[in-house]
Amino acid sequence: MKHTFKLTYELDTTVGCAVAAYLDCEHYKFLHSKYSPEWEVLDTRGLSIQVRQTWVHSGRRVAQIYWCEYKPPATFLNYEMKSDPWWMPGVHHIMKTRTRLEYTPVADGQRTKSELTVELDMPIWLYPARHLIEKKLCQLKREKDDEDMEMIKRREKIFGRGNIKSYLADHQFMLYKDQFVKHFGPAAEGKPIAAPAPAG
Amino acid sequence: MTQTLSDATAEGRDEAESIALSEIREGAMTIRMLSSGRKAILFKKGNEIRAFSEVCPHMGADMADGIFCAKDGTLACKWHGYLFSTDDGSFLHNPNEKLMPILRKPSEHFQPDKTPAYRLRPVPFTIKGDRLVFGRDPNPMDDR
Repeated sequence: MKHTFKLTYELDTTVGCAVAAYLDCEHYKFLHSKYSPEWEVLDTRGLSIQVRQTWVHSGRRVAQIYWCEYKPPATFLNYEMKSDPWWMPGVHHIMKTRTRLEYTPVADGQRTKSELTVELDMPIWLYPARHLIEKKLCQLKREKDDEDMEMIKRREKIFGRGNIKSYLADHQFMLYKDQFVKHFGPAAEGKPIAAPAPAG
Repeated sequence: MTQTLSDATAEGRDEAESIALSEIREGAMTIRMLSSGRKAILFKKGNEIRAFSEVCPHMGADMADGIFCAKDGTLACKWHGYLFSTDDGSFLHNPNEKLMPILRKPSEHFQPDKTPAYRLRPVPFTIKGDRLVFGRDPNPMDDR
């Protein structure tokens, strides 16, 4: 049975900064180490990467493998989630999960609307627990965003609001750097953020 | 700009911008808030003291929240794990180069051979009696 929900709120930053934080994968293993101490890329395919990530739930470590796809300029999809190792009991054996995160500018581009859509496909016996699962997933998303916003607000205090120059430097690594520069670099300044990529 | 206990000279500064030498312990990270709004991070090794700005030269993280290893004389940034020497502030290592080699391929806008010489920014100071007095930072907000 399917259960779909959205988690929508505004981030007090520009879309460029929000996307930069998402694509700045070097911070995942460190800034988010409290609840996601391992993050490893297994494979790449176009603007997608297959990731092995470990999460800590109630003191217990669980690992999962999934594909993470970037749809420029500001949409991110996660799908094909599996337990790791494959034989390890886990929720992905009985429930399919797909997520779509989309950032859109609001308040003349000074703020960002973050909209996470989650599709869960679960057996009927698990369906009564759907709201509990939804609550847990939303909590994790907010915790991660809180840590990212702490980083973004400190950078804003030091370098100025919306300043992404550090990310644009040639030596700076981030996921899909060329795409990021195309959409948020100097050549894109003053241009409106393109329409969100179609769902899928 | 870092100085040793032996060669530092006193120049007279407000008490609020100073710290008793006895508070700076070897093997520990000592943090002092400055009137500029920045923190100074102090390290003692033998007779030498080093003082650095708390701003990570990579992305601006607060290095006062970093992980200090007294044995190795290193400070790791909590945002990206970049490792710096507490002896001279020099950049030592980016652990992500080893963690995600599959992704780190040069492209039009990513040129890893251009990696700059990151370095923790020294905070000037002098020694006056039994106190370390912070010097005037010409531009405390300029950490880039």
